[in-house]
Amino acid sequence: MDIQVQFDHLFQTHYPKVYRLCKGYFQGDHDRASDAAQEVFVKVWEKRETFRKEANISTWIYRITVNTCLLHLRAQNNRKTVRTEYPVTVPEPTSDDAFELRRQKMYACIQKLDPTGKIIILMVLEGEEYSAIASVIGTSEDTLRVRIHRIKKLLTQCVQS
Amino acid sequence: MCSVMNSFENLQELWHQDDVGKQPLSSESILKKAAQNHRAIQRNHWGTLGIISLTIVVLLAYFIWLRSYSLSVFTCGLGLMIVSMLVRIGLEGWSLSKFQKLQKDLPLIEFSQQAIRFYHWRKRIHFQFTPLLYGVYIVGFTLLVPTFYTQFSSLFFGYLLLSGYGFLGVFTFFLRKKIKAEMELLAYLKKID
Repeated sequence: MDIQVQFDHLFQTHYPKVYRLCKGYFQGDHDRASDAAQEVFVKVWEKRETFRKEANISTWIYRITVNTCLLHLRAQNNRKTVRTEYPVTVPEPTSDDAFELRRQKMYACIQKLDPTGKIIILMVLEGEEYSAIASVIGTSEDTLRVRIHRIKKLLTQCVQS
Repeated sequence: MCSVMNSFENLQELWHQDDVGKQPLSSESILKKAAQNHRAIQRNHWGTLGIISLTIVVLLAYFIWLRSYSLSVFTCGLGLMIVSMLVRIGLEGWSLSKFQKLQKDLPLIEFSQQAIRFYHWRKRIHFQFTPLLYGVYIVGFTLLVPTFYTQFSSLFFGYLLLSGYGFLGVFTFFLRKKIKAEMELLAYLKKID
């Protein structure tokens, strides 16, 4: 298959996941998530010879994504902080705004996790297999399982509060 | 309504309801835009290096022009300034090369270790080499001052003093922000386990 067609297929398949992960990482900041997602696919393209040989392309893209988001912190101070806090009193949801409000609360709770926990939960929310997450993080599946249980608890408690 | 948020499954549902926003239509458009951004970053980097290089060329031109006067002190001062700038350029170039070699397709923990080593190296540059280079630059420029005083009008002499030492002030202002961001990132990377 032509490399550009292959890349386009890869992009169409994985962009939504990459974007969502970046958006969760940057607390719902669309612009920064788009920038990072873009950077991820540039890296994927630059390493196109590698991705042709990769057995598990999804894991490989996730590794690039989390590592790209990690170093994107470099530019954080130069940008406006977006939605760092959510209202303490959540109004009765009556429209689409209610969904957005809840999503912002979830993003804010994700930010409170430790750096690795934050990345783990973003992949869990996306519905990735634990084996794939363990491979992206570089830890054992058993260790990860325990950790995920703890993080899920922390996150749901925070969102409920 | 609060009960909707109670389970993790609901959070997952909420997560997947998020659209991808202004998604580009094709891989080509995103690569084109990204390539533009990349070029802009490169232009910015090389622009900075260009300004420093131009300063060195100007200093060298001064040296060639004025070498018949007060050769020892002037040569020494100019030499120190040029060396300090060349070393700074060299360190930035080396850093850029090291940064580009970071392997972003490694597992997170391994990658963060690699990034920590890189930012420790940056820390050494910022807190050991840079103050030393500042010192060398200041000594070098100070050695030029007597020659400037005898060779130029008082107005131009004042301008030279202001621009020579002022350059450091401006450079420090921008460098301080960069150092702060890098040290915050280093602290963040250290929390990854």
